Amino acid sequence: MAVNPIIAEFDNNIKIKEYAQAYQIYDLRRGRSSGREWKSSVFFFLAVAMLFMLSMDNFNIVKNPVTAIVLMISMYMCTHYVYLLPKKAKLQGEHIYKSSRLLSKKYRFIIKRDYFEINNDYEFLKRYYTEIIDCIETNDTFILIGGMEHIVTVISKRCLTDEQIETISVFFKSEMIRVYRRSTYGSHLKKK
Amino acid sequence: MKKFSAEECFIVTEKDYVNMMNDVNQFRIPKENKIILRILGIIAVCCGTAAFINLRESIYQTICWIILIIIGFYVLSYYDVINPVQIKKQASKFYRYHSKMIKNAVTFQMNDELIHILSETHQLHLPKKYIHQIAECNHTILIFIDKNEFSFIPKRVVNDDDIRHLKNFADDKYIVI
Repeated sequence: MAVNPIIAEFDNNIKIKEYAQAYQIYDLRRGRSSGREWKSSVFFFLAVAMLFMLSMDNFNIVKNPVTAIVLMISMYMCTHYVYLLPKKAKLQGEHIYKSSRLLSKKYRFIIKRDYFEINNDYEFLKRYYTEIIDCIETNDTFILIGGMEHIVTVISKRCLTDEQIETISVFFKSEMIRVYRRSTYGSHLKKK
Repeated sequence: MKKFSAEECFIVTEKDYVNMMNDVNQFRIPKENKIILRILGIIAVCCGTAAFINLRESIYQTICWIILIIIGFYVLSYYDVINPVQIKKQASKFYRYHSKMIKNAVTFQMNDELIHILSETHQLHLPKKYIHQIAECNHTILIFIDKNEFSFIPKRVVNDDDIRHLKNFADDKYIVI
């Protein structure tokens, strides 16, 4: 009897767009850009309050310069968190992919009951599911976030058969109940 | 068996981890950001103080100038005082809660062709062309695989010979912070 049975075994090779998308999700959920919803809300309400204060004085900016400056800063920060930050995160993902020679390499990916392994000539990684803090399934990828090294691990659905996608999806859903999320993010499901 | 020009085995202590986080933070902050923030801080403090002395027509204005001075001091001391303290606090907390992940014994080996960084769960065998950059910081040596991902060696475990070998190995990819 196998101690730790293999759930799926395949060669994984990720492309720049897939990694950029995964990194964007990681950055917005767990990275430096996390918590943008409440941060943007704070600046939105600050902008509304400043607008209200200005309206009390007939929008006289000369008389209330500080209020006008705070209003402008709040509006900028709101736009920054809602619109600019996701774009920046995706761009950063692309930069990281381009700066790495390992990410574009083909990996042997082995998903076992208690952990998964990725392996090629230059790197070996064994990650237990207890280290995973987010498992997100998008239309194109499975994104596994967690651990100290190789924090964002991406499984491309291009490299999997339909049965494997189904098996892995069901397995992750049952194995990582609290951290598994299904997201509609991504272009479309590409079939082999 | 191939002979290694450098070989060290170590455990990452809490101090190593905190130092590493601080070094990474220092490495990632562009120097221009520090200069710009310092200039902005000085301007805010000077303007706030001048306005506080000369323009105090109402309580509302006085409060505004005091806030401006406080913001100025905050911005001025952000990268030198506030940020390192925040990082230290966060790193200590992270280490306490995730010590099982961090405490794996790490072996660092090096020969003329490859750098090996080996732990129970993660093993890297990197030729020079797969290394993005090696940065020698105050307390740690950071080996970057890409712009974001890195492995680190505390400086306490390496001697001058190891650093010299590393410098020769990385050549133009080696930088000192």
